[in-house]
Amino acid sequence: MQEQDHSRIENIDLRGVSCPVNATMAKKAISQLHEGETVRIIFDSGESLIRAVRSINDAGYRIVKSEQLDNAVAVIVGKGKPAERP
Amino acid sequence: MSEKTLDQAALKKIGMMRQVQPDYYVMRLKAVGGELTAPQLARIAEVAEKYGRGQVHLSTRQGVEIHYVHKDNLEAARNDLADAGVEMGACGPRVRSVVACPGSETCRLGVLDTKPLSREFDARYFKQEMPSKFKIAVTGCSSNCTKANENDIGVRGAIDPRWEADECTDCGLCVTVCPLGAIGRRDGDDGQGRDYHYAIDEAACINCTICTSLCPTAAWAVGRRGHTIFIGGTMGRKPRFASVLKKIVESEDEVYALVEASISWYRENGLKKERFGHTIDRVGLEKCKEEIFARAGSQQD
Ligand code: SF4
Ligand code: SF4
Ligand code: SF4
Repeated sequence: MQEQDHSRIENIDLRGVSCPVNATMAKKAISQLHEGETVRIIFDSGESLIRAVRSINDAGYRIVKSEQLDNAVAVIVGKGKPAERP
Repeated sequence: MSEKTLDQAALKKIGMMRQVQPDYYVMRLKAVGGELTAPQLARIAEVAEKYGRGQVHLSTRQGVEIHYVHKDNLEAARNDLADAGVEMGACGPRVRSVVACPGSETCRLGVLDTKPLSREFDARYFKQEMPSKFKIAVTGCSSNCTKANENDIGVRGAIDPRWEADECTDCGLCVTVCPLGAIGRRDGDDGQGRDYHYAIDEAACINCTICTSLCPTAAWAVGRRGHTIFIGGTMGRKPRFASVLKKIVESEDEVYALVEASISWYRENGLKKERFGHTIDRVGLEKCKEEIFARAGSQQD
């Protein structure tokens, strides 16, 4: 594997960015990842988080970790696909 | 309908209400589950033009009302509407038009096909006499667009999530996205051979599909799928949020049995002008539920 510049998009804070712009920005960041890289994205809690997560799943990216912050949630996303649903 | 003194109670029964303006009436039309065809809409527009003031009023419960119809024209207007299959709604102490959201037929979040159910409720109960007004709503999922718990009877699409350890990557997403904070990660095995498991607080869970649709590995699977039944909701002067009768009812037959039992219980126990929810509060929710389940031959959750 070639050298990657991980610092480029390590942590993206989308608190205060409203729906659907937050999801669009998140997907743009994820699309720039290389295989094996992940990015940590912070969203406000609530309906806009649910929409953003749905949108990340629908775009075919894989959330690998999620943690609760104060009134916000961080998700770590990589390039693998989410599971097919019956 | 041209005699001088119109029977107001009889008019209310067929969805016609006196206006502030003497001799003018509101015609409330029925739209089961909020559905009207294009030809029906065209006819409503024609009638509003011909007998009203060329406009309609949309009610909060999916009704279309034609205002400013003179009493001498009520019958002609009603006939014109009936020719296009537009029926009158209901007012007064009886079962009102059944409301519904679009449901799973077109809504991506839908769990329940709301329209057939609302048509069946309409066929069974519309206009039937009750102690007070009686509203039925069907809503396709926990987003609750039709506000099931503001109605005397509310039916809401529901699923019961089931955790499958083999699929779970322990990412924690379900804990952070559950809108009710109902999912927790617990130490110890739940019988599926892991040293942790994810569990749901049943009392808090609203049986939505957020965990089952967002888990990246589909580790939250849809277990049971069915209906949550609410009783005794009302807004109006003395609001009361509905009580859950049963969280998951899988079979439609059981839904109909529980609704029938609820309605017959209210008919026997409700005082005149007392809404279903207030009867429940007067008698006691637990007693009411026990009696309804006994009547329906069904078991509580
Ligand atoms: S209640 Fe659910 S199924 Fe019905 S319209 Fe709202 S989101 Fe869609
Ligand atoms: S979201 Fe799915 S994979 Fe992640 S912890 Fe919950 S059940 Fe496990
Ligand atoms: S069904 Fe909805 S409320 Fe229940 S645990 Fe899943 S996300 Fe939470």
